[in-house]
Amino acid sequence: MSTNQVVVRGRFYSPANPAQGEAITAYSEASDLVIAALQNNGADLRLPLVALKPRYGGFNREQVYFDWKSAQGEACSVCFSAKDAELLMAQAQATATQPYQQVRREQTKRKRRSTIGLGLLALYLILPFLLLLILLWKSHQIAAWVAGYVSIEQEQALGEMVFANATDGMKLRQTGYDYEVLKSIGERLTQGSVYDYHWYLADTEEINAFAVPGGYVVANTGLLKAADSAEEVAGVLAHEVQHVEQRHTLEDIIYSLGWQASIALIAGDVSSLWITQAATQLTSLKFSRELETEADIKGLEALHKANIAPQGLVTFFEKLAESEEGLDSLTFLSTHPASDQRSANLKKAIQQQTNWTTLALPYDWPKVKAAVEQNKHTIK
Amino acid sequence: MSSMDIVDYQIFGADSQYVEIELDPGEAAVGEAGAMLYMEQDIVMETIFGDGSASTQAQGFFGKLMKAGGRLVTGESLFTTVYMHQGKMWKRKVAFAAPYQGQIVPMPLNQLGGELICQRDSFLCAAKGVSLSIAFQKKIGTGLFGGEGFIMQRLQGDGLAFIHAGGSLIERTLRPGEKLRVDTGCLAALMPSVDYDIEYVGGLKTAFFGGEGLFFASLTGPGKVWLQSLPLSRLANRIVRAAPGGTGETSVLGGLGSFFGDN
Repeated sequence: MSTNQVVVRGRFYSPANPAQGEAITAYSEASDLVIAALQNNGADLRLPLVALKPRYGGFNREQVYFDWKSAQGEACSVCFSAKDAELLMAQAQATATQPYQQVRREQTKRKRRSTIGLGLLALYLILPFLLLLILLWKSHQIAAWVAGYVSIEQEQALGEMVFANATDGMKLRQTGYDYEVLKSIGERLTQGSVYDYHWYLADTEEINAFAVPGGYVVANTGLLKAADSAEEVAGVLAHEVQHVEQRHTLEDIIYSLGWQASIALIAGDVSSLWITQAATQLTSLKFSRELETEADIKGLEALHKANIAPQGLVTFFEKLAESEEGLDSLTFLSTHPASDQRSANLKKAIQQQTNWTTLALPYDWPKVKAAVEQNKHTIK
Repeated sequence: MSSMDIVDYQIFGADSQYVEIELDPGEAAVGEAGAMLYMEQDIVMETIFGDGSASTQAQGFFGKLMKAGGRLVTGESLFTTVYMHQGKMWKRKVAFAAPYQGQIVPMPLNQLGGELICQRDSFLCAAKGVSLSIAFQKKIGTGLFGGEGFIMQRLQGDGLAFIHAGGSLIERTLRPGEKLRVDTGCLAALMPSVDYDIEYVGGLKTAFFGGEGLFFASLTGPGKVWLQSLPLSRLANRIVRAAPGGTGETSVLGGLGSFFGDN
């Protein structure tokens, strides 16, 4: 044994040994593998490498076994860690390690296949969660992207359905002077729109207005009563109409539908009727702050285009914010958060707009209010 | 030198066994949560996070968390319970019962090379200091069709551990290169030196009508293996089939299902 020889630890198995084998040390020399000082006879065991059959074995096939038959015909084996086997073989004569190199190549290939396979398996198992994560991260963009594929006709058909659901049980009317004024204001704001607008008055004290996709706009009589001028109503309508024009409601429906679909896909429950559920949720829809801001700004632009004074929107906001005690009925306010900040933003945006030509709205506002009171009893 | 506690024990019962462990003052045993049957006075029960082996005590919080997580994956509880004899004199006994019909086998790890890989869920109790961890099956075929899933349990140390498996337990010693083909699911424990693989039963007729499924588990020596004659899953299958309105056996991909551990 030369001085630079690498000696490694291993285990020696033979029928004479207990099942767990015997701890040994070994080194390689020229074309032989030498197992040092075995317990049962105390002598070194010198084995020619060509007579040994190498294989990968053990629980995960991470160790190298060299099998051979002893002189008595007994099956014997010596086992090393893959790293130690590599060291031993590097020391030995290259020609004698041919069989080892062969099994090592096979093992490398097998390992690569197993890694790929396990990777695929892991991917398969985490795929639903991965998709959910992507959805969570890009959900609004995905909803906007899908909304881009919905045609105006489809949107209006959807809007009709949503409208029918959302206004179920509401007292709607399309008659009276107050309605005519509402419609007239709305039409000023939506001139040249691709949507075919339908205006409705709902007889309820709640100060609210909402719009569903395809151009169905419902204003409560409470809103008309709370407003002190046609400009204030125009401001609120301009804002609500932008939710239709910018397709906010559509995106929101697609967003919540998409969520229910993906949750159903992952959880495997497809029993719920998504459309109806989403539609009934609509009356209490809450848009994100970004969408509200967008509707504010675009609403201002619409007012500008229609030559309506924009201050109405601001004063109405402020009025609502002041009457704290009536918060329950102020649905418009509660679904539109941080109104202080918003009116400040609006004022700033108004100031930035130069050459704002305003024409006073030609409506008799006291007459509108009187009509609201009067028509209240005519609705069935 | 040894950090393990040497314990005396006695196994009682035939089909439904329990093991009674005798502790000297200061000695302790760890048990799977819920396995304790009775304990005598002076024995104090303390629930710890992890397995109470020296290796986890040195690892700090994160290491403990990882090991405890590993226990969760193998189907054991996050916590183990240590039963310590805190009296001053006399020997005291604590007993652990097998959760279903089968046999309890003592595994003196010091005589088995210090390491043993066993079926998920099969650990019952051990001398304090035996470490429990995951043995992850890296061969996909074996993981899917080998009958034991991808997750097995690794017991390490030089103390005595007790494992439990269904039916009768058969101990076989395999010579180097000797191969034993076993029905999938019947492997209870094996030494890490044993190559655990699967083998196609051969022939379409045999594969589909032989009744053994598509694969055998093939075990190649050297080393010892322990086989269970009646895996709980098989017993459960028979019971479900015999129950009114029961259905048949699980699919070929049952191995994938058991990845998550539902027995």
